[in-house]
This record gives sequence, C-alpha cells and structure tokens, in this order.
Amino acid sequence: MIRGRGGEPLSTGPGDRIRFRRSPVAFPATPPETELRDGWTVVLRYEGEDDHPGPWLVDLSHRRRWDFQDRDIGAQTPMDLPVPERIGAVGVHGPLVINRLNRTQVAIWHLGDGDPPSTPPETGFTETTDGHCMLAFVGPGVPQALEHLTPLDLFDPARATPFLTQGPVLHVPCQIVTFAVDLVVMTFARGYGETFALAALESGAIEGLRPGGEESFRRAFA
Amino acid sequence: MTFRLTCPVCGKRDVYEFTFGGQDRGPRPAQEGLSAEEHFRWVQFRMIPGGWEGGEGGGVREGDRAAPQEEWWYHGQGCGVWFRTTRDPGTNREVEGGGGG
Amino acid sequence: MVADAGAKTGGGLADRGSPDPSVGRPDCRRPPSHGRLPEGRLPPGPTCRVDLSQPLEFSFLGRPVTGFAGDTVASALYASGVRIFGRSLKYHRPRGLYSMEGESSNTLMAIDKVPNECAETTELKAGMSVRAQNVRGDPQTDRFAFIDRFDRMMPAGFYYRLFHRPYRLWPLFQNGLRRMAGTGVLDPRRGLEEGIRGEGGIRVEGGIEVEGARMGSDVRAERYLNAEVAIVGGGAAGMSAALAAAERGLRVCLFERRPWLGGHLVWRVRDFEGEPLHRRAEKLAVRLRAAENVKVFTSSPVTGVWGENLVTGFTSGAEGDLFRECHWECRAKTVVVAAGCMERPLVFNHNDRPGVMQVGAVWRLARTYAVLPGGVAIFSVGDDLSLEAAADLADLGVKIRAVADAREAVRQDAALVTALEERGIPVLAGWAASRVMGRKQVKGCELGALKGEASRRFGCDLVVANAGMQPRIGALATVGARLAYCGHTHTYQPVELPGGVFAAGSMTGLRDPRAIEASGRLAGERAVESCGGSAPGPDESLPEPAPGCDIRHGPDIGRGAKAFVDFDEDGTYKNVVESAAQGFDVPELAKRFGGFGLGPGQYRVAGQNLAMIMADLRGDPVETATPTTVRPPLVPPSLATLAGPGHDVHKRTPLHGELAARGAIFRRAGPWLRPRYFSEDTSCRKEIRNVRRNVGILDSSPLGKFRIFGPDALKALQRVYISDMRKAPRGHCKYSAMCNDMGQLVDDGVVIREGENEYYFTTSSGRAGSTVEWFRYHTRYDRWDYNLVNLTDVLGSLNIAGPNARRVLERVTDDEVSNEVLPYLGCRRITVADGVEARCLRLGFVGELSFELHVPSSYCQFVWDLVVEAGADFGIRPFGLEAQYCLRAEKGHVIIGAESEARVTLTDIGMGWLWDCGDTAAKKVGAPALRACEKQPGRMRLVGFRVDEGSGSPRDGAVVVDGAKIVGYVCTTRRSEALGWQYGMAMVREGVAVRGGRTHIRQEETPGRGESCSATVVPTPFYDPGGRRLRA
Repeated sequence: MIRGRGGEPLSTGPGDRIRFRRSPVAFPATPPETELRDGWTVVLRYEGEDDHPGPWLVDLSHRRRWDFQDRDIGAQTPMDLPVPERIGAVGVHGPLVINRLNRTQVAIWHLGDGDPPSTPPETGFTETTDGHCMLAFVGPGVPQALEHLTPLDLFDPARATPFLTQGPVLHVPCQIVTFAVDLVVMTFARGYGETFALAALESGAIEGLRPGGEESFRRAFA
Repeated sequence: MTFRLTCPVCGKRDVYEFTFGGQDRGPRPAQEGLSAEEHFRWVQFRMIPGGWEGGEGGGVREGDRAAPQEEWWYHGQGCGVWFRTTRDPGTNREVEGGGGG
Repeated sequence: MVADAGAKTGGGLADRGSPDPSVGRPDCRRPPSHGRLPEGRLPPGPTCRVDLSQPLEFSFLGRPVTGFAGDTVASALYASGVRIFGRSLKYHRPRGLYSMEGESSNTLMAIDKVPNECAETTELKAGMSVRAQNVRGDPQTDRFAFIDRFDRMMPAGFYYRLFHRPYRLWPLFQNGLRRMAGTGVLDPRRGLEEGIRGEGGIRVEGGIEVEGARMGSDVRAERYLNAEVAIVGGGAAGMSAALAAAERGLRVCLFERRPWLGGHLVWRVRDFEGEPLHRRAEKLAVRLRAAENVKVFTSSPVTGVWGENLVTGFTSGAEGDLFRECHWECRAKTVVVAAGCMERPLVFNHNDRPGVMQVGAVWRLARTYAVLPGGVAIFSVGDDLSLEAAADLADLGVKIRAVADAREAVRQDAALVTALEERGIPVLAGWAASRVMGRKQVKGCELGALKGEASRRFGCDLVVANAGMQPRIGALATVGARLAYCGHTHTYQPVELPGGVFAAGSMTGLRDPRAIEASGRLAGERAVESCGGSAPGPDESLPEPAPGCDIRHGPDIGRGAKAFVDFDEDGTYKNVVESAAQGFDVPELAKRFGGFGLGPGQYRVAGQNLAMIMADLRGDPVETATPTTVRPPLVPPSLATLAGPGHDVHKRTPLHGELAARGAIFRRAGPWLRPRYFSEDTSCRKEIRNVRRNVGILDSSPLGKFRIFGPDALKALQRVYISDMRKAPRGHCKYSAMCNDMGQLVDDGVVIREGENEYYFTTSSGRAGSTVEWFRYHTRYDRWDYNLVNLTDVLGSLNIAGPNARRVLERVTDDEVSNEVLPYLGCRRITVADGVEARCLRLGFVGELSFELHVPSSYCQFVWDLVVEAGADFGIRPFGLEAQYCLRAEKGHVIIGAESEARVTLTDIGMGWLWDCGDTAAKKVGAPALRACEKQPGRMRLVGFRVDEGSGSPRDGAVVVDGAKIVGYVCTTRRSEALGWQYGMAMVREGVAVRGGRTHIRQEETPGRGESCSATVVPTPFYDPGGRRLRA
C-alpha cells in the first residue's frame, strides 16, 4: 500500500501486486516452462534440455530449508524426524532430508513434492531458505563435472549413500549431499550464488554441464 | 607445502580448509589479580623446548628442535568446529593419535 | 571428454583424460593420397602414428611447411629438412633434435606467439605458426653465432665474477646480456588478440569487469581426482599395476606423459613370445580401457608427487577437448611410480651438433613418425635396447657404419650382437664416440677405444649416442624417497620409500618385458594391501636387474672442443673442471656456480653425469656420487595453466543487478562486490547532498547479522563484547564493540535482546565471515550451551536515511514508525506491503534520521522497488560506500581499519566509554590489555581537525609533523559541503591532541616534493554535534 502525500493509495495495493521473490541464481538460458510458487519463479525446464544427456545444474534455491540446533540433539525429533546418529549421515524421510552437521546441529531440506511444512515454534529452528543458494547436479557425468570444481572426495565408495560432506567447492564452503552417482545437492552462502553458478557452468562445460529445470531434479530425486 | 589435518567431524582434509588457532595455552586466566605481564605472556608467548619462550629456563638452545605440540585448528571451510590436534612443526605432520578433541 | 562423459554410470566412474590413439586409432598405414611417399618419409609401418593421407599446413619462420596428422611439430619440421631448431643460450651454437622427449631447451620454440613451447612433444595442428628462439634472423645464420668463439671470456660462473664493478655499469651489462641470452619472448597482446568471450559486464573501479571472461581457444581447466591408487607412467608396468589394483575394486588414476599408452614397447616390432612387442602393449591398453574404476590420462605429465601422496600434473588438450591445458591434482592413498627410463646423455666433443641424437629420438622418428632420420649413422651407446634399435633401423634403410658400445663384450646381449653382425655392422665393445665433425650439421664422427689409443673416423650425417639408461627418478625424488647410487645398474635406485609409495618397471633396472609386467602387478598388489585390501598372491620372483653402463664421457674429452654436460645453460665438461678447481666440487655447488641443471632440462640431462664426473674429479669412488636435488615441476606446465581458470567467485547482494542497472561503480569489499559510487564524481557530492537534504537509500546487505540463543548466550556475549550486555533492553539497539586480546578494536555493531536467552546482533561486513569462529574460539574451554546462526545472507539490509526517511517508510508499512514508538536506537518488527516481515532499526551511522530494514534476501528487490517508488516524490536516490564513508566521517564515527589499526586500542580512539571495566568475572576478551594500556603514557589518540582556510588540502595518509618530527598521521579527511570546510581525523601523539591546538600536516606524493598545510584540532562530531538530526 503505497500512499500519496495525502495518504491516498498511490499505486495498486498489495492484493494486486505480487510479492515476488528472487533466487540468487539466474542461468544464461531460455526457460520455456516456469511456475510461480510462493513468490518464486521456478524454472521447470530449459530450452533444448530433452536433446541433452546431462549433466544438468539445477537451481533449487526456492526449496525451504531449516537449521536446527540443540545441545542434546540426539534426543530431539525436529519436524518429527529422527536425527541421524552419526555426524555426516543423511536421513531421507519422504519429501524431507535431514543432515547431521555436527554434535549439536542438523539441517533439514524440503526436496520432495508437495507443500513444505511451516517453521515449527521451537527455539532451535531457524529458517535458512533465504540464506543459501541451493544447487543440484543431476544426470550422467556428475562426478566428472564436480572434479573440475572441488578436491573433495564426493564419491568415496567406502561411504554409503546418501552422505554429507562439508567443505569447499570453488573455494566456497558448502554443505553437500551425495544421493547417488548422478545426483548431488549442495548449499552455500546465498551471496556467492551468481558467480558460483557461472563458474560451475564454465568449468563444467568441459563435461557437458548445462542449466537444467526443476523437472530433471524431480525425476532424479524420485 | 601441503599437509593434511584430521578434523574430528569431517576426517582428513587439506590444511587450507583450516584456520590456525595457535598452540594450546590452556583456559583464559582469571582476570582478578592478573598482572599485565602474566596476561601478555599468556597471549603472546609460546611453549618451546626448554620451557616458555623468554621465561624461566626458556630460550632456544643449540640442538633444540621443534617438538610435537598441541594446537587448535578451526575447520572454517568445512563444519565450523574448533578442535585440538597434536602436530610436529618440524615435519608439519600430525603425530599418531592427533585429531579429535 | 564430452563424448564419453557418463558413458558408464553406477559404480564405474571411468573416463579418460584425453583421446588415446592406441585404441581405435585410424589405420595409419594408409599410403598418402597421391600414392607417392612425401619427401623425407618412410613407408608407414605397423607402429606408425602419422597419417600420411592427411596433410597439415603450417608455417616455420613464415615459410609454408607441410606435416601430417599425428606429427609433432619437431617431427614435421625434421621431415621437411629442418635440422637447426634454435640457438643455445650462451654460445649461440646451432641446436637440433636430441631426445624427442623435450628433455632440453634445444627445441623450445615460439608456437603461435607462445614462447618456450616444446616442439618435440607438441602435437602439430594445421595453421600453426612456428618460430625459433634465441636467434637473430634465421637459426641457420644467427648473427650472434660468433659468440661461440669467445668462450674463454665466459668460464664457469663468469656472471658472478665479472660485470659487478663498477656497480653503475651493471644495468648496461644486464641489458646487453639479456638481449643476447635467454629464451622466448612473451607477447603481452596475445590474449587480447584472441578475443574475449562474454557480453556486457559490470563497472568496477578502474574499468569494466567482463562476466565470464575466458580466452576463446585458451581455456585452462583444473581437475581434482580422488583415488586409492595413482600410477605414474602408462607403460607395461604401470598398466599391469593399474589392472591389479582395479581388479580388487580400487579406484585407479593412471598418468602417462605421452599421447598413448605402452611406454617404450609401442615402437618396438621385435618378436617376443610369439608376437611383436607393440602388440603386447596394445593388448594391455585395451584391457586397461575396459577395466572398471580406472581413469586413464594420456598426454599428462606428472609435475610432482607431494606429501601424503598428492600427485600433480597437467593434461594437454587434444583435438575435441574444450581446454588447452588442464592442471590436475590427484589425492591418492598409494602411488605406484613406473616412470620408466630415459637415456643418459653421452658427454663427448661437440656432442651438441645438430645430427647428434639419442637412440629413442632416432628410433621414434622412424617407427612412430615415419621420418627417415638420416642416411648414414654411427652409434655410440651403452645398453642392449640401443643394439636392438640399431638392427631395426638398419632394416628400415639407415646405413649404419659402426656401433660402439661402451660396455665390455661380456655385458652385451650376444643375440643382438649377432643380429648386428649378420647385417654387416661392426660392433666395437669398449669403444665410444670421441668427436663429431661438422659445424651446422654432423659430417663425420670419430670413435675411440676407452682403454688405449685406438681410434677410427667415419663419415656420416647422424650420430646416435647415449651412455646407457637412467631411471626417471623425478616422481620418486619429489615424494621423498631416499635414492642411492647402485654400482650394479649404475643408476640411482630407491633404497627407502615413503609409506604407500611403490616403484616398478624398467626404472628398477628390469629389461625383460615379462619381468617388467610382473613387477607392475606386484606393485599394484602391494598398493591394494596398503589400502587395507587382501594380501597379494604368492610372490612372483623377479629377475636380477641387468648390469648397467658406467661410462663418464668419451675419449679425448675437452681437447680443443666443447663437450656439453648441460645443453640448456651451455655447461661444458671444461666448466665442470673449472668449478671443481675453484672449490665448487660437489654437484649442488657446481649447479649454482656453473648453472648445470638450472635450465628446463633440470636434473634430467645434467644430473647423473655431473655427479659421476664430479666424483671422478674429486678422486672418490663413483658410488659416492650424489645427484642434485630434483625439484618440481618435473615437466614445466605453462604459467597460465598454473593460474587456472581464474574464476572470480565473490559475493553479490540481492540487489546487485538493480544497482548495476542504476550505474553503480563497484569495488571489492572482503568477499563482496559493493557499489562505491553512482556517478563519475568520486566526491559523491550529489549523493551526500541528497541524504543530508532529502532521503537516500543504501544497500547495506553485507552487514553481518546473527542470531544467538541458548541458556549461555548472554555469557558468550559478555565474553566477546566489551560492554555490559546484561543491560541490553528489549526493543533497543545496544551499540558495542569487540576487542582482541591486545585490546585492539576488531568489530562493532548493535545487539538486540529479542527474548529470553535470545539475541540478534550485527557485525561489520568484513567480520561477518569470522564471527562464529571468534565466539567459539574465545569460549572453547567453557562448554557453554549457546547456538549461533549466521543470518548475514538470510537477510538483506536497506538503509533509508535522510530527513524524509520516515515519510517514505510510512508509505510502505501500516505499522507505526513514529519517533515515539520507534525512537533513535529503537528496533521493532514491522510488516512491509502487508506481507514481508522486516526488522526495522533506528540507527544513525550517517548522522540523519535513518531506518535500517532487515528483510529476507529473496524479498529485497520487491521491497526496494516499493521504497523507491514511494520515495520518488521525495527525490530518493541510492548512495554508495564512498558517500556513506564521508557522511559518517562528518559525524566522527569510526570505521575499523580506517580510524583504527593494529597498534590502536579501544581507548586510543576515544571509545573507552564502551568498556565495562568493573566486570572482571566475565573475563572479557581484551579487558586486561585495556587495563594495562589505559593510562600508559605516550600513546597516540584519535583527534578531529579542521584544515585552516587557504592552507591546502591534505589527503588520507598524510603525516602530522612537529618541525621535522612525525607526530601522527591522517586517517580520513574530506571536504564537506554541509560544513563548508575540510575536516578530518588523525592519530596523533599526546600533546598534539590538545583541543584548539594547531597542527601541521605534510603531504609528500613523491619523496622530497610535498606540500604543508596547517589544521586546528577540533572536537568531533563535526556535523550536528548535538545529534538532533538523527533523533528527529
């Protein structure tokens, strides 16, 4: 409700105005199919995606995420989810993914279909959706593409998938979950989003990495 | 120069993921009755072979070599945890049983 | 690499470094399209890798030359008749092909204006422009060639001893020497000519930063590999080791410096166990390619093996690769080094003449590149492989007059000697080459007996020489293996290997192909065991290594001729003798004094010969010969490759695009890119005026924002903040600062109590990244229960500042933001546009009525649009960092790093009032230091000053002087439109800091030339001292 000098409404009210939200990432590609979801413009598919075998880089920054901390985290069930016992372990429960970060902290990601839950009232929760950029690497050739971005061993055969790695990708500290050899999801500070995605696409181009829409991620996650 | 450190949360990682937190000097001394000299010794001085640097019986003597020491490291590029490890500054390597703590 | 990316999924992540011609390569035996053999070429045999039906045009010194697909630059030039490839560093002697492995600088050339490219190993591409280096004019007729005759003026170490006095003349000598000696010349315009990809760009201080700036054809990639087993060398041993490890399910990375696998087997046609050797290698390569878990990198030399088994190197991009060079690092649990052997150069008179080559070079010219190496040849060698080569080359049509073998007859393979004699080639055991005839090219060769006086002369155009084999010890040496001289093989052999490192193959002295493969398998199995796998099967017994050749140099050494120990630096045998005579008689000293092994060839050409000759000169047994230290890079990558892709990954605020569109000129501030100005006017007059008179809007999103909660949250705040944080009331911003243990100011910001054990606080932008680390470090022994969440990126921040700020804000929210409800330093949550939750903080950093809105980052653009629309009537406009910097300085507000530095404590800058000195129980960080410095005499203080009218205009960093003595420095000074005079803040010594006192400021832009101004010490704030405006 923007008002004029006399207090009269100046432009259209909020009812008519979309309270739009912006992702930190905008890929240099044409999306023929998008969807407006909770203010976010979500790209479902990019042009020419069907002719490309992968790998794809998918922006998931609009997916809701939470940080939950508690000294006695093992005894907690945030959002009714069991906290993984081992640090670095990942639990997948329907649409929700829970990552055990350290002694006192977990991250919860809403990656599946359906409406995300709302933030529970407990003190330990902080919604961090807006604090991160979230990217998924999807499809064949993901390990090769990631080798150009990070020295981390994201595909250690000795670890059972899914598993969590915390470390630098393109020198930016990241939380990375390896779901499978063709699906890796990572989050990092939102401010890096734009330049990170650009660098990832440039380096990953050697292995055929291209922007992908949310649909390609949904297929891989399902 | 490249060596690795063992983060108690993330395991072995390249040293550039970490920030050095100095030699383990024990907890912050009580402020009440703390002299300026005692404070600055705690902040600035390091344990070296033979005692505290510049202290009683301190000072580097010929034949002294760096010995393994307890150190603090912060895994800033990873899990964000401070931890202690025992490392030999002579070889830059962690000594057996380093990491964790 | 795109084509097969992901060809396999599931467990196998196998892929390849670059295409390997050994599998599915085109049949190179096809005759040339016009049916006739091109000049200088042999009929292609079964091991040929050149396709004579595919000519490639390129140019040498501007003249057109034709090569063929599969050629290297050197093989194509040699086939077209080029013999002199360049001139030597010091003497400008003509130099030609030597090893075909890029071991010396002889064949470094400028290719497409890139200097120092190795012609012997660079794959030929159509359209290349090739030039010789270190020549004036044509290498055939180099104008500096006369220097060769003045060698007496240039003894070992001459540049250390001559030209130094008088000192004044040194630059003259230096420039002269630089012109005559040296290698390639860098063309700084090359990158620009290549063109820059990418469009648009953003304005940063000093120019335009192009988005995704990459050189079109010059992409430098980087790649990080993780493996259980890394293998250095893709010969028979390396491949066998890889297969052994991969069969047990381990991840294997294999690195081969040549473009194909198979090592020295790939050009050998000799029958072994019923099939030619090259077939044996090809079969192994096919098995390796099919193996799961193996990544094979060809054209990929290893540059070093580092602590804890990190293998580094680079891959040259092949046709179809989207990179020119790719630097890689492989973190491995174990390393198998099977790097093979190279030939030890034979030191004899004029051994650098074009036409003197090593056996491998001649053999590969003929067998791999189908180039006729010469018409008539003399061999002077020291191992059996060379005898096999002589027989093979004779079969290919090279007339071999004689083969001298430095070994005794009993050490030779009798079958090979017979084979040579059957071809009518005399074999002279215990003989070696003593001298080469001919200046620009070999015309003849003298052979001499190593014992006795006998000698014979031969006419020839090719001298094929080596002193036997030496292992490629580089990878072992860099990883820290202990190497010792072995009196049996006369090579350096590892006597102690670091954990998880194994050696295999011909470098361990083995020669039999079966034994080489067995040693590889064994090393692979030991690597498996070392990774915790099952124990290897029964030990295959390996045969004893073959005896080696211990020749130091040819007969009659150094008599009236130069005999080179090191080609790169023109280091001769005589220079070694000179070095020893002057006391530099150990290899490490001689290397520094005479330059042996300092060039691109490093230890590879000079290393072992220098050590052996030096041992002789000292009169010590050869077993004591210690080589010089091997240093990485073992093979030099280009500097651009080491620099990498050069991505500038930095942080951008949620409003970056909007600000760029509004003409912001950005600057880097920590990890962030932030707008500094919004016009070319760097004094930002309009931006400042608009904040003072109307209303401005600043994107302050990089501000650090944190949540701290938990039962011990207050204890943690009490520890790191210098003030008493117990006094922070709800709904109020408590300003405070953090000090370090030395009492220095490290951070400031506000803390807001938002609930029971629940606080929200801000930090300066530069500290946001280390705040969690700082809290946790200073409470690391306390086991306190508190939680920190970094909200810096979660929330963007908009600062609406100016007399009209409230009126703008009232238009976008229904919540009350009056002075009564939200006074100065107040804080409340408001809803913007009926839906976006925001924290609204009344702060006064710029000295005007101002509201800081902390809104979720994803909504920032939406809120910005609303505010700017609502503020249009009031002339709202964005302002940048420089305007903010001036505005706050007029208020005397400090910025850490501008008004404080490492020597300055909280009390020095007049902020001691923040310090709660009564509370010692909290053990506040910095409190003991502040106590110690508080009343210390002689400390500097921060003061405000006003520059006297008409006295000049000093700048930041000028010094404050008292006569000739420096008594302080200017932190910040600007001319203020609001005040009408130039104000500033300075750190000055006690005594100067008297209010109303006159100070003198001296500014020297260049030493000796400066201007002096005078200023008066005045109280701060300069602007609105009563603070009425920010409380409005």
